[in-house]
Amino acid sequence: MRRVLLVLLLTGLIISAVFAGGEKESEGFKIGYVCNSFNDTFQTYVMDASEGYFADKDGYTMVLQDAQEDVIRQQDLVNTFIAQGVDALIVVPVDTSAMDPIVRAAEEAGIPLCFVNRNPYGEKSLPKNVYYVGSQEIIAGQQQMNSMGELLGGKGGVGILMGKLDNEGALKRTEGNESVISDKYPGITILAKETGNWQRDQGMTLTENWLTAYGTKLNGILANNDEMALGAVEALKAAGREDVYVMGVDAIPDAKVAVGNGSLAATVLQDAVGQGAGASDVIYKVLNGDSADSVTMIPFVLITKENLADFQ
Amino acid sequence: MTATGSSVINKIDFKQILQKYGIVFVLILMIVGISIAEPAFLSRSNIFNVLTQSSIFGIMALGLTFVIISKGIDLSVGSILALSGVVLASLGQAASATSKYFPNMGELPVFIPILAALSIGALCGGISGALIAKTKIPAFIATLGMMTIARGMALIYSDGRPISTLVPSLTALGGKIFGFIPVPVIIFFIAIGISSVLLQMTKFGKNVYAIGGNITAAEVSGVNVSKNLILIYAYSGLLAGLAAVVFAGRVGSVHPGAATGYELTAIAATTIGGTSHAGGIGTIWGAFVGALVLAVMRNGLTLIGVDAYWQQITEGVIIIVAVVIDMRKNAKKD
Repeated sequence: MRRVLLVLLLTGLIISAVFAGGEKESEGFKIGYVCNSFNDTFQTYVMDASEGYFADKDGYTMVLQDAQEDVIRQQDLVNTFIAQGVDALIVVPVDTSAMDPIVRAAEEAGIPLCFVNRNPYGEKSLPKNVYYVGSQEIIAGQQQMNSMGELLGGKGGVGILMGKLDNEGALKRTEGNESVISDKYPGITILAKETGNWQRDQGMTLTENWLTAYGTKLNGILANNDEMALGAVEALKAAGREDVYVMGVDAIPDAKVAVGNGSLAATVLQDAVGQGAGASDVIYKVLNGDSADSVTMIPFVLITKENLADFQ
Repeated sequence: MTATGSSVINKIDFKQILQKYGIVFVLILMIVGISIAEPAFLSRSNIFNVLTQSSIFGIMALGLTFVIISKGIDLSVGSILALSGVVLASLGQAASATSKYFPNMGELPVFIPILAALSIGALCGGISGALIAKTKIPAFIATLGMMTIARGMALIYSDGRPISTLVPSLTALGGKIFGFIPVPVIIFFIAIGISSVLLQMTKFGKNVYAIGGNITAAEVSGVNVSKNLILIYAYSGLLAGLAAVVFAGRVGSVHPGAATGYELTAIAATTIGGTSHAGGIGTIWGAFVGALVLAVMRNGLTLIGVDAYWQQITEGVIIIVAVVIDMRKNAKKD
């Protein structure tokens, strides 16, 4: 009996301890940020920049939540934020095809919603009070492949490590790779095109399999993000292959180190800070009654050993 | 009667109640704590939020209650949701969809995709059950295999892409009626009712307890164990198919990676609700309370602004605490 009570008491204590850690309600504006996944390194930079934007602005607080790559969880978090009475929402979509209920919820609550990094609307125009800040993904794929084409002298075989297949970024970057091959480099063949779900370990496994399947016919690897590219680098290192060029997207710190030591040929900078701060800027303007562009595009940059110093 | 005597009686009652309903006290404690920290928790819209948020893994937890009472486990329900879901979505696309799975097919009556999802779920579950019954491989292994196979089939069927733009009659299943009652909650409650009746009032339900309590004794006393095992897992699969219907309704799109890890949330809900992994003990009511504990926790911790990393730690602690209480309860029975 005493032990049952003890267990209950402990539970209560743990719960109240966690409550005590919770932030107190404050006056001013509260912005809810739902990240697709805190495990997505790049997204944490976007999120930090978005939060950092409000650091020196009085009366603005931002609450961060993790959707853990689960569309339902993302929807639940948005509804919970709305019940809590947030004044604006910033969302990184888990699945760009499943954002209708979130847009509807924001609309019913009458609050502005800004999507970052992944655009659920593609070419279509956005509804009122909905915004997008991101980059044109296809450009990243094109810049990557242009540079790869030069390195390979216009011939050889490449593998493409795709991100999650239900994601616009993954599809568009790959489309960018493919469009440059068909327009400029007909001598280059795509040996394989598989999804590593943005994950380093899966990029490594796929590369190991490709090395077994294609051997020396594999000359280059184009990854939809740096995490998978770094996985490929590990696999190549383990196999003793130094002749294969690997390129990623995002320019995360690990990738910049790898570009510096030559294990990664290039990475494309999708400006995390620009996107995160850009989204906050849009929300800031809207909350202050100013107008904001419904779509804000942040440019990409190709980073190689030559210009690496500019981005440290 | 002396004062001492009556206090002893009170103490015993309190003890029994606490042991029987320990997890309900945890739930009430959580609700009170969260409401004090954030009164918006008790708003009507938020209470419906919590119920809606518990519905998908809650429906799965109902099926898992049957499975776990029979001393089994079903790891495949998340993947079965994805497989049933992509098939449902492909059959339930609106005419206005830009990338149609069946380009030349018109809009079907809404019961066809729903029936397809339920049948696929029941079929996958039935196959797991048959494997367990006939080959005697552990349920963990059979359903682990089914988990991977169903996920693979969902990926093949959908070509790895989400299937979106569903007909309004399907997305209505994720919406509200009378403007405030969420349909997923109604579906969840109906599933609770049916599962309760099945478990408590039918011969099948008695057999589930008998198999979990002592499989040999059940067999000797004339229970057709094989048939019942197949039915148990088919029912768990069927409910995963029903969860797919709710998922598709809520999201308006189903991708093959949907509901990854939901089997573990559903198992956690069932376990928190007092269904014993030692077999023979458990209730549908418990699974409902367990699902509510998880949903209240996720919703509440977000409402009061607890750091997202801490939420995961809290979730883990609550699961362990719940099982500790549960084991003490069952130990007393022996």
